Amino acid sequence: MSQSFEDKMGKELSRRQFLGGTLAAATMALFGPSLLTQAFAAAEGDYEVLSGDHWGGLRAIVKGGRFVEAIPFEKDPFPTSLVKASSDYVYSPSRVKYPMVRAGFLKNGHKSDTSERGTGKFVRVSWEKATKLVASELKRVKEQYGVASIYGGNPGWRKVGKLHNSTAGLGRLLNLNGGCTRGSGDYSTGASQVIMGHVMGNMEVYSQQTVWPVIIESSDLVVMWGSDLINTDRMGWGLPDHGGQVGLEALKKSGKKVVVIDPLRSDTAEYVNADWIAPRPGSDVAMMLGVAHTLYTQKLYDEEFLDEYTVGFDKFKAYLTGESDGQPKTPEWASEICDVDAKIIKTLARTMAKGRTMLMAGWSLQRADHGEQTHWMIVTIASMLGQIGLPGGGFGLAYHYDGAGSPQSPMPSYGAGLGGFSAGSAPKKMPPTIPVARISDALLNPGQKIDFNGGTVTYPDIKLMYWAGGNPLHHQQDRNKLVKAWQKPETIIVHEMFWTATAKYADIVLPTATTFEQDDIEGLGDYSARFIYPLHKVIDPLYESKPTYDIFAAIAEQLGYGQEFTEGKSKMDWIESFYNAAVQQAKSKKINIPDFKTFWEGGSYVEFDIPESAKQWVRHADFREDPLLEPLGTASGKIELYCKAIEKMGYDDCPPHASWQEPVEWLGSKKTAQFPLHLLSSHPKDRLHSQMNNVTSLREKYAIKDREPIWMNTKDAAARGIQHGDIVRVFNDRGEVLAGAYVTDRFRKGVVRLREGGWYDPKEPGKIGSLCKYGHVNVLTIDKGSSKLSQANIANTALVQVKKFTGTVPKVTAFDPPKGA
Amino acid sequence: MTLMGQYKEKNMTTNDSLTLAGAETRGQLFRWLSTLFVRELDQKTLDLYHRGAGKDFLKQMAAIPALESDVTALQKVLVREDNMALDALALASEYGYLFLGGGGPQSVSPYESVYTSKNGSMFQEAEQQTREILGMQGLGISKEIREPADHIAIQLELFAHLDEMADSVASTDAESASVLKIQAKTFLENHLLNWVPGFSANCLAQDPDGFYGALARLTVTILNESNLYFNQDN
Repeated sequence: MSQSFEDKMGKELSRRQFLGGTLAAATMALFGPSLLTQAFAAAEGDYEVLSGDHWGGLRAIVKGGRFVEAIPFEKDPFPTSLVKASSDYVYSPSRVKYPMVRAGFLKNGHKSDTSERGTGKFVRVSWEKATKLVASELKRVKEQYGVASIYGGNPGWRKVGKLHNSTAGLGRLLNLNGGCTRGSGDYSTGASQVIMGHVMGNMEVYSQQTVWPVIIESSDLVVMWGSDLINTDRMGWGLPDHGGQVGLEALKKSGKKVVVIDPLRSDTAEYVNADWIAPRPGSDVAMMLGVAHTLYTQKLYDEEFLDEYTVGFDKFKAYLTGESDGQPKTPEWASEICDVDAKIIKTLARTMAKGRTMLMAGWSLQRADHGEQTHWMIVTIASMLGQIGLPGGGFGLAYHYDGAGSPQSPMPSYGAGLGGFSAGSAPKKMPPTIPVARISDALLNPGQKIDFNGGTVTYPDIKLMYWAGGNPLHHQQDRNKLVKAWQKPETIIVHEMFWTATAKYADIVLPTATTFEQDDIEGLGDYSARFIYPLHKVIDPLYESKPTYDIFAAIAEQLGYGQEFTEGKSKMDWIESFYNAAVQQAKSKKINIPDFKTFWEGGSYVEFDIPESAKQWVRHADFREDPLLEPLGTASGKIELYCKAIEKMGYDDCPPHASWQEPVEWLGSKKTAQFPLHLLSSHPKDRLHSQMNNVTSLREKYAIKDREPIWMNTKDAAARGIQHGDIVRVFNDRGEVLAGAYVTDRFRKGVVRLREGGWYDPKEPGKIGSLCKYGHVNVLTIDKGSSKLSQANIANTALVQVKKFTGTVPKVTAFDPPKGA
Repeated sequence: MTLMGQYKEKNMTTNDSLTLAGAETRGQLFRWLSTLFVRELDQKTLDLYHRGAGKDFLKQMAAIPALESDVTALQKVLVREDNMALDALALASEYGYLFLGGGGPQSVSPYESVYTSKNGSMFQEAEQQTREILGMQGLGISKEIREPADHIAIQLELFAHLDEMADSVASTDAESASVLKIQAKTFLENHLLNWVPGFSANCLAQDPDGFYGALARLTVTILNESNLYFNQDN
């Protein structure tokens, strides 16, 4: 034991030399250098720091240099299951550990056989090599085809943080490189955000809502239409404060009447013990028209409000009564379509009109064929009720999202005044955008022209795609179509933390650190603007992963834009500048907060008080108060129940007033003969979209035989000989997945649910049409624009058949490498 | 003296067969395995296995009866059908697929924690224990290696170190030697033998006809044989 390491290694060497002769010397070449070295006392402390992610603020406990536990933020009233799993997430075996390049791409560059994508043939390369490769590809495609052929992939739920913001980082890099094609809109609210621009002059879907205390004080009835708040409020775009659940808890305690309209008796419905109405999926507009017809014929509508605050009710009325098309939209007519008793529809309408009613609509309604119509019809009913802008009345399209409806501090929403890293200005010749959900069509049909919101979009010839902070092979509909389209570009670059499908189908994969491996800063409570929360680095980046900012800065440097990218600032300089922006904001509001050094080194957060006045805030109250001085941002300045701008577009699939349009697939289609079940792809509970589906400790909470559960009605299951817990085939003419049957009476008959976010796990990787062994729902969904107006995704419009799986079950699917035999 | 020569000299048994008795022999083999698992082989080294020192090295190893069939299998996969050496890029992509996660669910994790922790996570108890054992030896992981301590390559080298250290101080410091021997034996039994057989089975399932499948099988055989002779030696 007394022998020193040097002595020992010296002896090692002499021993090998002792092997002697030419053969032995040559044999030495078979041995690499030692992996071990003499260690100095390692600085592996035990400490605690604040950090967090979309699933909550937390206190990270580090012992012996390892992130061992995450304790939810003490002021989070509803901590999620994901917080506890944060260290499992960091230590997941499916982390991307090194820069990786697809073997064929490494050999043949952009001329490689792209059908190799998805087969997992990756080779480790150095950061230097990877950085040079990315830079040279950006340069090549720009010079050879122009920047319109570079697609700067829209990110989605990138990591939180004001500095390591991959949207801004990628945006800045590509802007410096001369621009790129980007996607417009998003997968959450694609249809509504476009139509609401015309109807309300505001996207509405991300806006602050009439605050919950006002609902509790003034509403008589809350209708939740296609909204499962208790599940969707779990995640925040920044760090969540779970204010939606605070509101929901107060609503439950108030004992007010709540009606939930949803094919599923949702967790929210159960929690507030709501009255439950379960229409056929996709038929909501017909049911809403039945409600409107009752309001109209029973004179339960507010004519004065319609006159003063809206335009076009007369034209809508002609449609409602059948004057314009010969079909009165009676509750009986509606009942035939939505399969809800006409009496229930009439009662609902009368109950709405009887007192103060808040219509809370979810986004699931508009993630459907003709999804624009659902929210337009919600606004139409709310206008007829005449309570928009009154305390506790009107409508809200965001209550289920990210704590919307929480009373707000004097600080700005989304970050409480913090600055953030930005993409900078787009170059003058920035190519036009394409609607984000049309990516498969764009890749497959370069040069094709499509209608979009009154204009024409020409699909560019995309040669290079660069994705950072997003998982398109999760969120895009119709996986097999996308896998085919994915073979078109010459080069695909992806930043990833994990081996997601998007990483597996890339050419160059750059390993990024998780939020817990880098310093950053973020707001906590996007709508309440209540906290500034530090994201202290919990541990150093694992393996060779790097923080997002560092990766982009290195590529920018390689391209010669290093100085423009970093502006000569260190990461800490940036974080301090973001914090100082909030200090200035606060000062202007006469609020004092600690200086940066005190804040950062003190290891705590900043909390802002919520003033009493904020607890009285009512959406659209100013417009109601004075529609002339506070007009809406619409063409008319009023609520557009009939929209002339849309009339001018002349779209066959989006008429100028809210109307019933039969979806391409639904339970009223002929296609039900072959595929008789309607498939919904709702948000998951114990993960964030596809994030954390790879974390075993969470997956064990919901997976059935390690597959994604498919919820189905008891009768539908019995008719197919399916028992709870069976492995089933779910299929249609687009593809097939395996799933685990979850049999319940909480679903109406004829409807099944496979939550979005299950990882795509093809039985034959890379092959178009392969069975997905796990239960990735977008193998089954339709890739079609909701209408020419918004070209949004229609994830909730799909028919399937379900059968019990017989035969040999394909080997149990795991996300992480299989455990020891 | 060649590797075989070393065996001949030190390890001849009464029935003339070569064995894994002797810390030096085991150390050589463990360090060699460690090299093969820690990173991809370059073309130059692959050529050595095709028609150079590597080929001879394997030939000598095949002379150890307990290893013969596994080494023969490895020799076979090292030569392509056209009698050329294996292609480094193709083998590196196998490595990426299996050990660096490229294969996703079909990957084989080369870390003990994944096999022995409740949630199949990285950096769990096994990693900490390995780090502690390294620490007790005054050792750490070289800066260039961005891997946790329970990576198979690090554990293999650590065992070689413990085994050789015990041997090298045996004549001068019996007490230390005895402590080291216990450490080496415990490490072999509680760590390597606890998970490498499972790891090897996964490698064989995913890569039944390839280099890494054959290498993993040979590794388990070497572990088992070493265990046998380590106990005899001590």
